[in-house]
Order: sequence, then structure tokens, then C-alpha cells
Amino acid sequence: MNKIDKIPGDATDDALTFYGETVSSRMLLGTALYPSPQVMADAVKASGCQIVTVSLRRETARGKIGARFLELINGLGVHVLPNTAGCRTAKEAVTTARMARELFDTPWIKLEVIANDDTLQPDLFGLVEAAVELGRDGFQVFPYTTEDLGAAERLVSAGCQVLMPWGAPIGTGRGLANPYALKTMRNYFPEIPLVVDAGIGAPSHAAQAMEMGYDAVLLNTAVAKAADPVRMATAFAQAIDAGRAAFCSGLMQSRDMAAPSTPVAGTPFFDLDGSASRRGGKS
Amino acid sequence: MRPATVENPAAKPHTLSVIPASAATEDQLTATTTTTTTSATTFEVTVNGEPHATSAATLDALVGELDFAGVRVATAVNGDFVPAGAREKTPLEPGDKIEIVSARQGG
Repeated sequence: MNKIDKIPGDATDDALTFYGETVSSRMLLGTALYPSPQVMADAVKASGCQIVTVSLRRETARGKIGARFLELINGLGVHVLPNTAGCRTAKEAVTTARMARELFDTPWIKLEVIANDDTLQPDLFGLVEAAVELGRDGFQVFPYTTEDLGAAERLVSAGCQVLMPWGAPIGTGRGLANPYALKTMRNYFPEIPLVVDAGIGAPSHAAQAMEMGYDAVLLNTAVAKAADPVRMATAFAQAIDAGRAAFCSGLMQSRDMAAPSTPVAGTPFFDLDGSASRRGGKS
Repeated sequence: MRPATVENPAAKPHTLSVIPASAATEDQLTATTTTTTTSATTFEVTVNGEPHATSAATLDALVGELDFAGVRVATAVNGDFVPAGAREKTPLEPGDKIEIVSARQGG
């Protein structure tokens, strides 16, 4: 269940489902930027994730690069989520998605339409346009978006059954730049799976997103560019589990003023008229 | 979608303006369009952002010419996806921009 006012009772009914596919891990991991393909494969295994993002690029070496990568990925036994990284228009994204669907044999597509090279921020106009067309063409779209609720509503109307708002710009490692807006989005779409995607830097960021009630976290750079990617993958998996367990356990309410945790009654040296004994003065 | 196919002669045929590889006579050079008498006509297309001279009549032939036959790649011509099964029926014209892509890492 994804309602934030209905906290899952136990682990068995806490399944995560995307377009009818149920997965047991709430960590989605990217396959780019690792020191080597072997380290990438080891990090994926260490993380326990069941969905990895992949991409497509111009082939040069008579298909050998692509073939080797496909062999590696197929050996991991995980779901692939192809992306439309690098696309700047709806048309580029739609064509890229169609090529990806044929290459990877999946209707899943992580839809990225990018507006700006410095921020790599989603182009919401192109994103919605592409989502509409891909939805009509039978794709199951995972849109990489912002916290903009208007765009989110249009994406849902276009058939998206998941939303993936950014934490911070891709690769910045800054964590959740606007937690207020992410909380608002979570409250606004209580039923839809929500995945924080991009900008995650540390496991604590991922835990924070999960504590807010987000359903999963998608990250790449934070693991791939860690000094020890395999160990970092495990750290992230643990953090995401902890965050989810915390959310399911019902976090305490925060407050401004202190409230003692130790009961007041029975405190030694306690003086009802105002602590004369503490000041050392005569009562 | 492509307006003309190899099997549809009723569609407007494209005209190739090609300077023959062999030394041209003055007559040939002054003609506005030239048809060559050699059997293989090469023309310029762009493949993956690079200029490429080819005599391939179809996208499928081009993929074969580039040694991608039997390899898992995906293709697009002039920004439009061309499914693998349709490559044989997709004619190429001078100036066409072809993308040939394969699986890669991604975030």
C-alpha cells in the first residue's frame, strides 16, 4: 500500500509494484560510471536491487560493445529499465524509447527529456508530450520529473502509474534539495508509487526519502563514484531498508520545546517551590 | 513514415545527382542531373553523426555493409524509429541521417 495514513503492518504486505510487477527491493540502481563492468555487476548483487537502469548509445565496434553489456546485464537476473538520457526533445525521447523497447524487449521506459545542460533538469513540456505519445504506444513510462504538481497530474493523466521526482540535479550528490515539496507531492499522490530519482549522495539522503513515505529510491553516481562501490551499494540498501522500516513504524512527532523523556515524578532533590535546593541556598 | 518504398514504383522516384567516379566529359558535367551507367551508385548519408558513402539501397543493406548483420542493434532514419523487420523495406536517400544504437550502461 502506498497510502501514508495506512502504515503497512508487516513485511509481507509491504510489496512494491510497478505496472503489475512486484519487486522486493526498494532500491533501483544505475549501471553507469563504475570503474569496471565487474564492479558494476558486484555492486548490483551487493545491493539486492531488482531493477537497474540502462541506456543505449551509438554502436561503433560492430556490435561488440552492446553485446558484451547485454550479456552482463542478462546474467544479473534483474529487471531492466532503459532510459532516454541525452534526449532534449519529445521526438528524440519517443524515438529513443522505441529503439530501447526493441533492444531490451521491455515496455518499461525511464523517460528523460532534458531542458538544460547545467542542471540536466527535466523539460516538463517535452516530458508530458512524450509521455502522452508513449502511453498511446503501449509503453509503461517511469517519468523523471520535478516536484511540479501540475506536470505530475498531466503525467498521471497520460497513463503514468509511477512518478520519479528528483532529489537534486543528476550527479550532484546533494540529497533532497526541497524536502518540503517532496512531502507535498507525497501527500498529493498517496496512491501512486513515488520514487526519488537523482541527486542522492549519501545513504542518509535515501533514508530521509524513505522516512517521508517514498516508495523507492533510484541512484547511480553515489554508488558508482564511491571509493568502494560494492560496499556503498550495501550501505544504501541498508539505509533504504531502515528508512522504510522507520516509516512503517510510525515516526514520533517532532516539537519545538523539550519534553523530558525521564518521568518527573520521583526526581531526587526535587523542590516544588522552585529549586532552592539546587541553588544550594537555605530553604 | 517513408513515402516511397522499393516495391512502390508509383511513388515519386528520387533523383540522384551524382558525379560519376570515372573522369567526366564536358557534356556530363553540364547536365543538371546525371545518371550513371555504372551498376553501383554511391551517395552520401550520415551514420551516427559521421558522413558515410554508401551504395546500399535499403537500411538493411546499410546495416549489413557496416558489419552489423545479425547483431542486436536498433535503428532510426531521420529521427524516426525503424523496426528491425522494416529495414529491408526502408529505402535510403542521399542526405539521410541514420542512427544505429546498441545497449549501454545508463543511470
